[in-house]
Amino acid sequence: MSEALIRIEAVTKTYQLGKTMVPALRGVSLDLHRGEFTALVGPSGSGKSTLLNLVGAIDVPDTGKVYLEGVDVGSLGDVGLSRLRNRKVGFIFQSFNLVPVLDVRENVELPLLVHERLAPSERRRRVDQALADVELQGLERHRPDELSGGQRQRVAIARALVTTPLLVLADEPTANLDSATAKRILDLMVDLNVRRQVTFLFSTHDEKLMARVGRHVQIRDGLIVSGEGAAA
Amino acid sequence: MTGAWRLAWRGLARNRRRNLTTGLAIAVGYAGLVVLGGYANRIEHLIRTSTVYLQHGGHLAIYREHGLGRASARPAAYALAPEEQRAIAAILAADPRVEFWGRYLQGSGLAGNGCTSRPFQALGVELAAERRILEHVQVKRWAPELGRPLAGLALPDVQGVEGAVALSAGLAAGLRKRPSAAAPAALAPPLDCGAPDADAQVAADSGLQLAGPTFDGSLSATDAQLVAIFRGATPEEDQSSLVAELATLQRLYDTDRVTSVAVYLRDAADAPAVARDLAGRLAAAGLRTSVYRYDDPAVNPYYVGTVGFVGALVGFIGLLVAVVATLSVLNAMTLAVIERTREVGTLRSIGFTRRQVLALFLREAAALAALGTLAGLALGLAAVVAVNRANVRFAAPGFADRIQLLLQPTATQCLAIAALILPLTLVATWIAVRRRLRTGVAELLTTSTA
Amino acid sequence: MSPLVIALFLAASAPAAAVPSAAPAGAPGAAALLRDADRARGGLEQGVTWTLEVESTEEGVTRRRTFLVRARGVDALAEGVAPARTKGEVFLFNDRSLWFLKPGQRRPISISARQRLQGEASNGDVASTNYARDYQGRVVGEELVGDEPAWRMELQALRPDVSYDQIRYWVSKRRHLGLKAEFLTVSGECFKTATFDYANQVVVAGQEVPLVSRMTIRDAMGAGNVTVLRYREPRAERHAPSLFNINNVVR
Repeated sequence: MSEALIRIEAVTKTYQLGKTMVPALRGVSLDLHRGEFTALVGPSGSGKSTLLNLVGAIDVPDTGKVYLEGVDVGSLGDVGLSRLRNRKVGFIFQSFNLVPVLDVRENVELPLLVHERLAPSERRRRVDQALADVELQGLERHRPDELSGGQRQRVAIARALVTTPLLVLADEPTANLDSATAKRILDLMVDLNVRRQVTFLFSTHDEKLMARVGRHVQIRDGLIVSGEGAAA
Repeated sequence: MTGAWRLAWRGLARNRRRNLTTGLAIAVGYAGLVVLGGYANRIEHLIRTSTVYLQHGGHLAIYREHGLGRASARPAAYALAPEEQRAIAAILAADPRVEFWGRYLQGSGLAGNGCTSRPFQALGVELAAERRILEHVQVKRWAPELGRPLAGLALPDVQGVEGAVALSAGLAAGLRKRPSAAAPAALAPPLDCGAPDADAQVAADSGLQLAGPTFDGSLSATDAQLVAIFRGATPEEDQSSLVAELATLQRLYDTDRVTSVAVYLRDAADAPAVARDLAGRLAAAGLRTSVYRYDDPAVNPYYVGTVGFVGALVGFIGLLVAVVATLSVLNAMTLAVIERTREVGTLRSIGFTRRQVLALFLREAAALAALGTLAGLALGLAAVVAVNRANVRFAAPGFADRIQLLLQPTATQCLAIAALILPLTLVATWIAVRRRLRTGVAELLTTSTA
Repeated sequence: MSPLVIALFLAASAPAAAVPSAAPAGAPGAAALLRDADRARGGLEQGVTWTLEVESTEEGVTRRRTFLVRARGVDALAEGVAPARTKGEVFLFNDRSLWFLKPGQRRPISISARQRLQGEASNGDVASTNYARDYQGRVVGEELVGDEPAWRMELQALRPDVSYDQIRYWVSKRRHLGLKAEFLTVSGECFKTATFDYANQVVVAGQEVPLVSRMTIRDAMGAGNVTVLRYREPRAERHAPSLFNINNVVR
């Protein structure tokens, strides 16, 4: 078995809500491999988002370690973490999180603003490619508020792909979409996984979507209850 | 960060009303500072021109050591002797920063009209220097109305009148005299000072008599002729000022000395350097003299006090305006960053560092400040033009006449104020954004603020 | 030293104001005392002529001037005699107004009492003020001046245009002559002191009367500044009133 792309070792995370401490993760270990398409499944509040945040290096565990390509994420400072997020990870959010004053093309281009220096032509090529991958050509000059929910999530996916990351994290990417659109979005992600070998980790509580996914990781009350091993 | 300015401009367009208000606060504040600065600049130049040129103080004044304080009481001991005057002239002539200079004699005495007399404070001037002053570009630019006599002809314009003098308006009125360039009859008609028409008899004759103590202490007197009436620099001086040709006063006081030499520079900014150099050269020449700058309170307390006061006032108001504008930016940016908390989280999640996010907001604030400043410049200059056209006149302290409310901002001033506004805006933005940036990315993403 | 000091001999003999005052037992009327003292300082109704020498020392420098003085009642005319460059200069003291004229000048110039206070000119007032007319006197005590018993008087100005607000004045009990005076500023500080000698005699209406021969004026504040006025060769002479008309002086 090859070296894991992501290795999570016994992480815990507790949030403070008012005066009460709420344990979100209570000792989770998980390996993710290149090219996997993994669904993180569990009810609301089970710790899915927290785990995604730790994997995406936008949060740090209280205890335990997260390694990305063997690098201890906890050892990085703000600049290192930002760089890692920019180069290695793409994010897709439940509510899309597009910048409303930017048009489609500008939103997609956003991660490249802080990416390694690219020639303008290369930048254009990458944006075009990402837009083509999500089939959004022709809508480039539209603002997010002129798009449907599905279209917006496609923009978000294109934005996540434009830096050609090792890993795309998607937190309930279809929760705000009707079921037909949700299915199309999932198809798109699966297609990208197959065609471009993009590694996906996405969280969902939609049973219907799970059938299409190779690997399921069940999480409940901050603990993985099944699927922590490698894909079958 | 390519494209970051575009992001900043787009950011500004986001909450147009709020940014318009903030931009307007900056614009109005900047316009106010331009107007205030224009006022301060005008007052400083007016008073400086008046002090340096019209009151003959020069940019530098050379007295014999202790002469400034003691020459009026003991002129014989503290006025400059002819050989000192020559040595000073030689030193001045060798300095290219010196435009010209004039020798001045100060004294006091009584001016009589044949019936009554009034005390005067006299200044003896050299006509050549006087002519240069009246035609000087600074005088014409900053104090054109103060440079010319109220009535009669300026001393350098009077030809062939023996003992020509100019009196301040209050003094001339007290003596019931009117100026005339025509010499009076050699033999004065007798006056009946008790007659009802005594004033008319006095006024019919432009001649008057000056009396004063000679340098050795005896009383002297001479005939003079009133050729011009001018406004005294202050209401007090307006009651007792007399200006005469240097030779006339030297005759009255029976001396060939002068009280001081006033030095007029091509550039006022050279005053400190020339003062230093002059003091050194005068000392090297064996002259015991003191050199005073025009901004030395010892010679020009009024200039220093007034300019200091106006400066403090403008500075204080300017500070208030700057604080209001800064608070306005702080408020706008605080709201903006709260509204965009999730967006900040998104940017952070796709790889923006804290600094890069801060830079975005700073760019936005800088763009807002630039727009506000430009609008403020237009607004301020429009206000300046409007005020100057309105020809508002007001009584200024230290001026006998009402002077026009003129606003004359300089490009340097406008730039300096803009250069002050920009960093203040940036600091306010930094303060507003800083706390949000310390928040963790995950927390930013889940904070609900929309 | 201003030549205005010539005014010193001009004290006139206009009638004094009647001054009721509380005085030590045995003191004569204050007004009568002042009138008598004024007369001995030069106020002779009929006319008098003398030579006045003014010697002033200021900061170690001594200057001398000489005038020929003709006086009559409240008027006096002084002509510069020496040094040569002051020859022909004329001071005319006409009641309270003083005129000055240099030879060749178109008109004389008037110098008022207040203006005289400035600088040395104030000595003129020390010498000339007509105390009986201008001040209200009060005998406040008796003191010795040298070895001569004197009334000590306090004089308060009656008019705003005199140079000094208050004068302390010591008048000889026996001779009714002013022996010493101190001149006070409005704030009550001593500004000048003067002492008087009466070695001169002049015959008026067949009677010999004493006349001031020397007045010494010291600045109370200026160290060592002193002016000595010497009155020489006094003689009673009748002068026409027109002599003291300013319009006649100019011609």
